[in-house]
Amino acid sequence: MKTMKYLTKILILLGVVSLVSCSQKDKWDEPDIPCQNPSVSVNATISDILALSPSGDITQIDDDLNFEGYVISSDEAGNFYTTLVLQDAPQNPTAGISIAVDKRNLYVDFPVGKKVVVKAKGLFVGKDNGVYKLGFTYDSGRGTHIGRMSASEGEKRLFATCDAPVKITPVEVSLQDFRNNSDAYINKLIKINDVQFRKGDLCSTYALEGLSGVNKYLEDCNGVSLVMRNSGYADFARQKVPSGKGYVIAVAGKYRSTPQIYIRDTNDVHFDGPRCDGSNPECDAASLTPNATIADLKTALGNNDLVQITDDWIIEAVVTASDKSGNLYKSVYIRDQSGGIRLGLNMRDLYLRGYHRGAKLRIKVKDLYVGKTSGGEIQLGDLYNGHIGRITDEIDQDHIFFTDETVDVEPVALTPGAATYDMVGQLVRLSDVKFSDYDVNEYFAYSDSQSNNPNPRSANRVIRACSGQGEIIVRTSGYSDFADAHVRYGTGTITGILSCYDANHDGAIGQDEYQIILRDIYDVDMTQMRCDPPVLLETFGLTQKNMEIDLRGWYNYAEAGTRKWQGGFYSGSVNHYAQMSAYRSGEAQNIAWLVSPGIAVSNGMTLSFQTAKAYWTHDALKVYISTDFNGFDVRSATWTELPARIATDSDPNHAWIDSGDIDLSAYSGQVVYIAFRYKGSDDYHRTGTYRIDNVVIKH
Amino acid sequence: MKKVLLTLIYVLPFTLWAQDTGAVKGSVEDADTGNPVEGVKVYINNLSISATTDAQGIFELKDVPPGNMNLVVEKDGYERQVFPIVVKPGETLDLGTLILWNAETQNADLGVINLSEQEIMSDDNDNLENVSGILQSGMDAFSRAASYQFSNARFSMRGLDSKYSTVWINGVPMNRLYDGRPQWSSWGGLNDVMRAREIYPNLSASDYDASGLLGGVNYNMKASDIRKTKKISLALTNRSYRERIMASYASGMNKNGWAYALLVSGRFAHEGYLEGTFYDAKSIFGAVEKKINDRHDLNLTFFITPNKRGKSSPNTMEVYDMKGARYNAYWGMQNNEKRNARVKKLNAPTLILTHNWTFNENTSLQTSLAYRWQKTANSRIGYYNANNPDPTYYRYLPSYWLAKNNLPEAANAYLQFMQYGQIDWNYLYQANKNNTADEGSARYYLYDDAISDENYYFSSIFSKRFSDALNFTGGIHVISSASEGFAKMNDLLGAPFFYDKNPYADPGFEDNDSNYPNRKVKEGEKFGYNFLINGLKARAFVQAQYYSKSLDLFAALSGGITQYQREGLFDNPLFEDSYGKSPFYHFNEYTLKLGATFKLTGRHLLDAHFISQNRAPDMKNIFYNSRVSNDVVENALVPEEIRGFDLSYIYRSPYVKSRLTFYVNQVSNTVDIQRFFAEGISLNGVQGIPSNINGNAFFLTQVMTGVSKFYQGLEYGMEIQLSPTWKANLAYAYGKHIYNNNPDVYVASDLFNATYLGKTYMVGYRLANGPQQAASIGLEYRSPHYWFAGANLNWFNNSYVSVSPLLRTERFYLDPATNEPYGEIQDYKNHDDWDIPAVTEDILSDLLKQEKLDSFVHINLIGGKSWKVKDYYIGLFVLVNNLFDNVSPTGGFEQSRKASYPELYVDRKINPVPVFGNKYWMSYGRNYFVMLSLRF
Repeated sequence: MKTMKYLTKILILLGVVSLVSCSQKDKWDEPDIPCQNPSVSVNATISDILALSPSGDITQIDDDLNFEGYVISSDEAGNFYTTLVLQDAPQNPTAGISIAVDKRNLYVDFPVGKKVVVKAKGLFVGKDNGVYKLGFTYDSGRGTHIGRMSASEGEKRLFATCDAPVKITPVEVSLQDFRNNSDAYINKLIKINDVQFRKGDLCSTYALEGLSGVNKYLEDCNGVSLVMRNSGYADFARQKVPSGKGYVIAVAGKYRSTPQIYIRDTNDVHFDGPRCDGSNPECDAASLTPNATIADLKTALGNNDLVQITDDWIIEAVVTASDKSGNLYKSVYIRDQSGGIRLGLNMRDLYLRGYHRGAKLRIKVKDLYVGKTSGGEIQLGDLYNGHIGRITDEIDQDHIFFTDETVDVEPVALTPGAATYDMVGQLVRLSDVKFSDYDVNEYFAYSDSQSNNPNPRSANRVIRACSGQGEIIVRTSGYSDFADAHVRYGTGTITGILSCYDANHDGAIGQDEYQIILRDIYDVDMTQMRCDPPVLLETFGLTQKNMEIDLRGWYNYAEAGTRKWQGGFYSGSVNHYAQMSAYRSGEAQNIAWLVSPGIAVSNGMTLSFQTAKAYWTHDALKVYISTDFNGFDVRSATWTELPARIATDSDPNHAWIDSGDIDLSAYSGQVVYIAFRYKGSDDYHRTGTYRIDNVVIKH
Repeated sequence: MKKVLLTLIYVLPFTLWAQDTGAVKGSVEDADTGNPVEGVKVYINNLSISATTDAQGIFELKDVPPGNMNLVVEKDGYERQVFPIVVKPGETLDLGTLILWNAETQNADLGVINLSEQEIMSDDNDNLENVSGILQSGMDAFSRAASYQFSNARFSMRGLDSKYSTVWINGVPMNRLYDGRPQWSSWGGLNDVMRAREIYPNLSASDYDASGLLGGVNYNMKASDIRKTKKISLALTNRSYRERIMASYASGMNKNGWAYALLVSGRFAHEGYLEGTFYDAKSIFGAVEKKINDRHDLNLTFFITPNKRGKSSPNTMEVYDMKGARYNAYWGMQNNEKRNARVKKLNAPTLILTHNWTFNENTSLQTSLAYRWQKTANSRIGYYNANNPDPTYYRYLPSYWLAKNNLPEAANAYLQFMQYGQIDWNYLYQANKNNTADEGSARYYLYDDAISDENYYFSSIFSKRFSDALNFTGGIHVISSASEGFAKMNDLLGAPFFYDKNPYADPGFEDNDSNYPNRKVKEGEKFGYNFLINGLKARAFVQAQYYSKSLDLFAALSGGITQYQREGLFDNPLFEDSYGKSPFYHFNEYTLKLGATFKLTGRHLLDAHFISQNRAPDMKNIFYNSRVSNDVVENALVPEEIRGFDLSYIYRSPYVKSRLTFYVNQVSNTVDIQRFFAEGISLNGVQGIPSNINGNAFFLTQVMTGVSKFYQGLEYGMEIQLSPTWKANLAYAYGKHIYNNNPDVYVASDLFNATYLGKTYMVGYRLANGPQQAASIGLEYRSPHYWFAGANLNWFNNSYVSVSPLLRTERFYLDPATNEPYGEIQDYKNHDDWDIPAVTEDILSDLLKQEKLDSFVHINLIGGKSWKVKDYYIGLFVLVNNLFDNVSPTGGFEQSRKASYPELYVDRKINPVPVFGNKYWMSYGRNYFVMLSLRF
C-alpha cells in the first residue's frame, strides 16, 4: 500500500514536471553570431588584378592573389543580375571590377558600401564587351567570354568583411567628360550633373517587361547623349522616366565601344528641375482631347497616294491587332468608331512596348503622314523615300500616348465577297465559313522552324461562305508563330484584320484582292461540323515529307520492292502531296499501291484528284477502282481502271493536272476503293516520279 | 478470490447424475480494474436460457440441459467471450471469475496515436487526413483492422475524406465549417474521458443527425458518462511524441446528484520520429453535472487542448535517397537546438452546456449550447527579395546541376546538402543584420498563417420510443461561425520591422493594404492579408426506426441551409474586390437515408443502406483566393451531390463473426483548389485573360469545379474464436476510387481573376487516398492471467500519387502558337541534347501515367498485462509497429511546376534525375508505444 502511494506520488510529480518542463518555447533568442573577418590576407589591389590583363585579353590568375573592394552595385531592384561591382575605395577610386556570380539577391550578403575580400586565384580576368570582368570562362559559340562563377564558387571566393557598409561618394563627372574618357570611370560609381532624358524617351517606361534590356538616352544641355541601360527584369521597368533635369548616380560601364551607365534603382535618378529649354513636356494622354477620327484621316487622303496631316488633330484609337504572333511586322492595326487603319512603327516587339491588343492610345497626328502602301492599303506613318513609311521610335513618343486602359475589341461582321475598301483596316469576323477543300490540313504558311528553313514563306488560304459563292483570302506570314498550324476542316468563324493587296497593280481593289490577316491562331474557331462536306477529302496535309504515308483509312502497300508512297512537300506553294518514284530504290521492280478508305457510293458521286509528274520516264501511274477489296490483299481484289486524265510526258514538269470529274454512279449502292498504283523499276531506268494530291469524292 | 483456469474446463471429468438439468454460475470482472461488471448478458448459445449479472457481477443460469455447449458472455464496450462448457445433470458448474476485456482501453489509445501521426504529416496543400477509420473502431473485425492496422499506412475508409464523417460531443456537431472535417487534435489527449461513445458507421442510422457517407461518432463527455475512476498513466513512444502523461478523476454520480470529472494530460517530444519534429500538447478537461431531479439534468463540459508541433516536409526521392526516410527540410540549428520553421499551433477552448430532459422513460430531449474559440496557426519563413531559405529548393540540389550536365557543381551540391541540408537560421539573422536596403526591413521573417474562429452552437435532439418496434428521433443544429484569417508576424529574426509589401507587385501596387501604405510591421502584428468569413449552418432532421423479428427499417431526412459571406479587412491594390463585404452565398442542403436489415436467421443477416445528399461546399472552397479577394467561381457555388449504397452480408456464430460489404458511392460537383508556381504554360488565346499578359510562368490558383468521384469496393472482416484464449482475425479491403468525369479548370493569379481554362482529363485516374487494397491477418491470445498478446501481418497495395489536374488539360500539350499538339522540337531552349518528339497519345499517356506506389508489408505486435495490488490496478500495454522496419512511401503528389509538354518531357525523360519529381511521405519504420497505467 505504501509503495503504491509512493508510486502514485512519483507519477503525479513526473506529470507536473513534464507539463512544466517539456513545453516548447515560443520565443527564440537571437543567435549570437560573432562576425568573423575572412581569414584571407589581402595582398593585391583591384589595379593589380587588372594589370594582369593589360590589353583586356582573358587571363587566368595563377598566383594566390587576394584583393579587397567596396560594393557599388545592387541587384535588389533587379537592374543588376548576378553581378557585383567593386571599386577600390569609398571615394576617389582608382579602379573597379565587375564580378559575375551565379547567385541572386547578392545585395543581401553584399550591400552597397560593404568591404569585400576576393580570393582571385584560379579566376579569369579580362575585358568582356569592353568592361573588365572577373569570373570563369565560357564559350558563347562566337568566342570565349568571361561568365559567371557558380554560387558555390562564389561562397569560396567572396567574403564580406565585418565592417559596416560605408558611404560611397560617387565621382562627379560631366556627361561630356564621361563620354570623352569613359574608360577612366568604368566599374566606378559616378554622378553626372545637369542631365535629362532625351525628348524621344520622355513618358516612356524605364524598360520593357519581357525584353532583357533597353537603352534610354540621357542628354546634357548641349545635346550630347549617353545610354542608360535598363533591364526588363528591374522592378522599376514599368515606371515612367521623369521628365525634368538634374543629376544621376550610376555605375559606369560600356557595351563594346558605347559608354553606358546602370542605375541601382530609381533613387539614383534626381531629375527634379526644369529641362534645359525650360519646357514642361506633355506626356499624359489625359491632357489630350480627341477631336478627329480615323475616317477624317482617310478623307484627308482622298484619292491621293500620300498626304501630311497639318491640322492639330488628335485621334483616340484602340489597338485591334499587334505583332505578338509575328503575323504583323513593325505595324499594328488601330481603330475607332469610324473605322480601322494600319499604323506603321519602325520597331519590333511592339506588343511589349504598349501596343498590345486592346490598348487605348491617343495620337497627335499633326505632321504625320497618311498614304497608300504598295499593296493599296492606307497606313498612318511617316515619310520614307517619298512614300508612306513607318514612324521611328525617336519620334513616336512625340505623337503617340498611351492611356492606362485596355478594352475588349469586338469585331464587326463581314461576309466573304462583301468586303469594301472602307472596311480595310477594320477588325472583322466571318461567320459560318470554311476553308476551301484543297487547303484543309495544309499549313497556314511555311515557317522557319520547318527543317530549319532559312526562308519562311507566306501563304494564302481561301475561306468560303457556307451559303453562297463568296470567298476571301487568309494571308499568313511565314514568320507568324502559327505558320505551322494546320488549316482546320470544320466550319465556324474567322476573325482578323481586313487587309488588301493590289495584285494586278491597277490602283483599285477587286473582291479577290481583299485579305484577312489573323492575329493569332485563336482567331480560327472551326469547331462545328464542316458544311457541305465531301464524302472523301485527302490533301495529304498531314503527311510528312519523305516519310511513308500513314493516314487513317488509307492502305499504303508495296506489292513489289519495298518502297511505298511517301509524303511530299513543296515550300513554293506550301503544299503537301503524295509521291512515289523508283529512283534509287535499288530494286528491280517497284509496285506501290495507295488505296483509299472504302466509300459507299450513291448516285451522282464523282471522283477527282490531281497528278503531277517529274523526271518522266514512263507512264507509271494508273488509277483503279474495286468493290471487293478486303482492306489488305490487293492481289485477290478485282481492280478496274478508271478513265482519269493523268499527268504524262507532254505535261510540264511539276504541274498539277486535274483528273476531271469521274462519274462513280455505276457503283451506286456499293462500297468502292480507289487505288493509285505506281509501277517502275530502278534497274531498267523506269524511275519517273508521280505525285497525287487533293483526292475528292463528292456529290 | 478463487480463479479457475477456463481452458481446463474442457478436460473436466463428468459423471451422469439423476437430475435432468444442471446449472451454471460465476461472476464477471473487468480485466483492467478487477471491478465486478454489472449488466453483462450471459447465455447459452442456441438456447433461450440467459441471465444478467448483478451489481456484484454474479450470474446464475438454471435448468440447463446437460451436454457440451457454448456459454456466451457479452456486454457493450467489452470483448465478447465464448466459453465451451460441459453441463452435468443435477450439478452446478461454478465457473469462478470470468474476465472481460474492455474493447476500447488499449485500442482507443492506439487510435489516437495514429491520429496524431496523420496530423503531423498533413500540410495545408494535401488531402491526407485519413482518420476516418478511427471513427469506427470497436465495431467489427473489419473496422477494427481499418482503425488499428491500416491507418498507419494512410488507409482511408472507403477512400473517403474525413469530412464525410461527423463528430458530435454531447450531441453538438464539431466539424469545422472551414473544411468540413473534424479537427481531431482539438480534443487530443482526452482519451480517458472519451470512452463513452456511440458509433454510427457508414450509412447506418444515427441518433444525432442524418449524417454522411462515413457516419459519425458521438462522444458522451458529460460528467456522469465518465466511468468512476482515478487513473494515472505514463506512455513512452518514438512516434510523433515521446512521452505522454495523463491523470484523470471521475466521481460518478454521488448521492446529492452531483458528478465531476477532471483530466490533465501532456504529450511531449523534443524530437519525434522524424527529424526536427517537436511535440508539445497539453490537455485539460473538466465536467460538472447536476441531476436536478428525475427529469432534469444539467451538465457543463469544458476542455482546452493547446498544442503545437513541428511539421515535416514531403520530399522527392532524390532527397530521401540522400538523407534517409526521417529527413525533414523544415528545421535548422539555432543556438545548438533544432528549430522547426513550420510549427502548427492549435488551441480550441470548448464549452458545452447540456440539458437533459427526461419526460418519461420513452421520451427525452437533449439540448446543448456550445461555444468554441479555435485558433490555429501555421508558421513559415517569409522572404522579401532574398533567396529561398528552403534547403531542398530545386536550385540547391544535385538534380538541378545534373540537368545542366554540370557534374562538378552537382557533386558540390551533393556535398553541401549532405553536410548540412537544413535551414540556416544563422544566415537568415545575418542577412537581416546586414541589410541596409529599405531601412533594414526584414529580408527573412517567420510568420503565422492564422485562422481564428468563433463558433456558437445550438443543438436539440428529441427522441421518443413509441413501442419496442418504433423509435422516433428529431432535432435541430445551428452553427454560427466567424473566422478571421490573417498573417501574423511571429519573429522578425533580428530585423527591426518589416515593410508590409509584396515584392512581386509593380510600383504603386506593392502595399498589401493600401489603406496603410508603407506600414512597418512589428512582431505580433497582423500583416499581409486579413479577412473575415461569416458562416451560418442550420439544419433540422427527423428519423424513424422500425424493428421486427425478421426486418429492421429506418428512414432519416434532414434539410438545412448554409450561408457564407467574406469581408476583406485589407485593401490589396492588386485585387479589385479585396476590401469590404461580398454578397451572401446561400446553399440548400438535404440528406435522405434509408436502411433495411433482413434477418434471414439469427446468424445470417443482409444489411442495405442508401443515401442521397446535397451538401453545401465547404467554406474554404467558396472564395478561391479568400486571403485577398471576394471573387468566386460561379460553377463552384453548387452543393456537392452525393449518392451512396452499400449492401452487407453478416454472419455471426459463437465462433465466427464476419461481414462482407459491397459499397458504391458517387460524389459529384465537388471543388478542389490548389496553388502553385507553373512554368512553361501559355495563357495565350484564353478567353478572358488580358492580352497584355506575357510570359509563361505564373503563380497560379487552380480551381477545379464539377469534380466527380466514384468509389466502389468490398470490405471483408472475420474473427474466429479458436478457443476461449485464441482468436484469429482477418480483414481485406479492395476499393476502386477514381475520378469519373473531366472537371472544369479555372486559373487565377495576381494579374487576373479566375478564368476558365478548359476541361482536365481526369477520367480513370485513381484518387490519392491511401492504399485502395489492404489485407490484415492476425492472431491474438488473451490469457485468463490478465495478459494478452497479438500479432498482425498487414499488406498494402494500390496506393497512387495525387495527379496534377493542370497537366491533364489541353493547355499542357497544345503549342500555344499553333494551338495544335506540340510538334517535334530540336534543341529545345538551345540545349543540344534536348530533342523533344512530337506529341503522340503514346508519349502523353506514358508521361502522364499516374505513379503507383509499391506495395508493402508491415508486421505489428501488441501485448499487455494488468496486475492488482491491493486496491490499485496496474496496466501495461506494449505495441510494436512495423517490426521489420520496412520503410516506403505511403503517399505523394505530382508537382505542377512543369506545366507544359516540353518542360515536363525534359524533366522526366531527359534529365538524369527529375528536378521536379514527385514528392512523397514515408511510412514510419519500426516504432513502439509502451504505456503504464495505474488506477485506484
